[in-house]
Amino acid sequence: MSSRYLDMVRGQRRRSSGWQFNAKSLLALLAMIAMAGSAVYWWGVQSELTGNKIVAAAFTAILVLAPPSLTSFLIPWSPGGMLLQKINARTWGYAVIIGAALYLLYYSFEIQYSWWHAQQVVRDTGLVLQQVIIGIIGFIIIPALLWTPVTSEELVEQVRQAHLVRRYELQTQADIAILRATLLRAQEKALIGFANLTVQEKEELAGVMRGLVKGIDQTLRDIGDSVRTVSGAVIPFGSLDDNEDIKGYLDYISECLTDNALLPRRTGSNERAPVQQHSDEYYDDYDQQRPRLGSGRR
Amino acid sequence: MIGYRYTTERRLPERDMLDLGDALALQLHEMLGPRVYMLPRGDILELISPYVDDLAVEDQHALSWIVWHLFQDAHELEIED
Repeated sequence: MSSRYLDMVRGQRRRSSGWQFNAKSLLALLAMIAMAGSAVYWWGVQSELTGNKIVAAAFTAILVLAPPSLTSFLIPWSPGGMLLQKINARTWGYAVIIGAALYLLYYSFEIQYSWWHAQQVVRDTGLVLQQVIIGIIGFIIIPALLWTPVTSEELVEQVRQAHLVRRYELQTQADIAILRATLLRAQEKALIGFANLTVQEKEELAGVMRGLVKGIDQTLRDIGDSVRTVSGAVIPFGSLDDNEDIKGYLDYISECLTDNALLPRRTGSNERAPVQQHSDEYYDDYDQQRPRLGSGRR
Repeated sequence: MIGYRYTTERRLPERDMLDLGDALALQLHEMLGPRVYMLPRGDILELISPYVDDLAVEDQHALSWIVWHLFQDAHELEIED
């Protein structure tokens, strides 16, 4: 089955896949050059610190890649990234990332400071700190700005999941509160005794019963929706209200409670409802008497 | 928004429902952009109700499901690449 809407989305995707050179592309180019320079610099430093080439290469790789990647978690680049940072801020992993990133920044600062301080011209002109800051920006900040910790889709998915969890919690709490209040009111009415209820109260009680089934229905539907959205799994869910038996019971209860000699039948006719005989036979014949779906009353 | 084909009841024929769902999805996407992928079905029903308030209530609910499923399919398309 073809859909004009899905065709439009496909078309948009194809058009947006074209490449454009913009400030971010330039930043990417700059970051690549800076990281190549960083590799040369750290190889120079680390190979001075140790004669073991493999250890020096490993430390070079760590110092080229780890500081930008860890710092990228601390510098959100988009509103979505800001929100994700706020969501993840309370996790232990985030505390570890902050600690490691700060230590690597400190280490990088110290080593570069010593290195530039050893350069005669820089020391004499008093430009050590400025040189170090330029190094930190080029080696760490620019690559970190370019990298995002997660792809946009993962970001959307994480934010959506956090939002759904919160929404589901609130929704369930609200549903439970409403159901509890409705049930209390129904219990109160039941204590007065059905016979002593006014016509309006009987109607209200019938409405409460329908409302409870609808409320349960809606909550189950929402849970089904949430599960499908989060996991992609479809939960087959038949509406309780569509169930012929449940509808029949509700209609019957509503009719028993509200139809009496004083109240015109709600189907529109003004005839008086027959006085109901509350004998055992009456209850035995329940299944024959109760109205069925499609018999005129919906 | 009542369709061109005729039925024996007030409900719209399936073909019209699908076409209408398509048109509504296009309209909402134009209004809100990719944010439509995040809309829960209840909100979709609210957004489409000005366009479909002359239809049977069952059709309005069915349309909200059709549009919601279209948005989910479109979202999957976006994620695939």
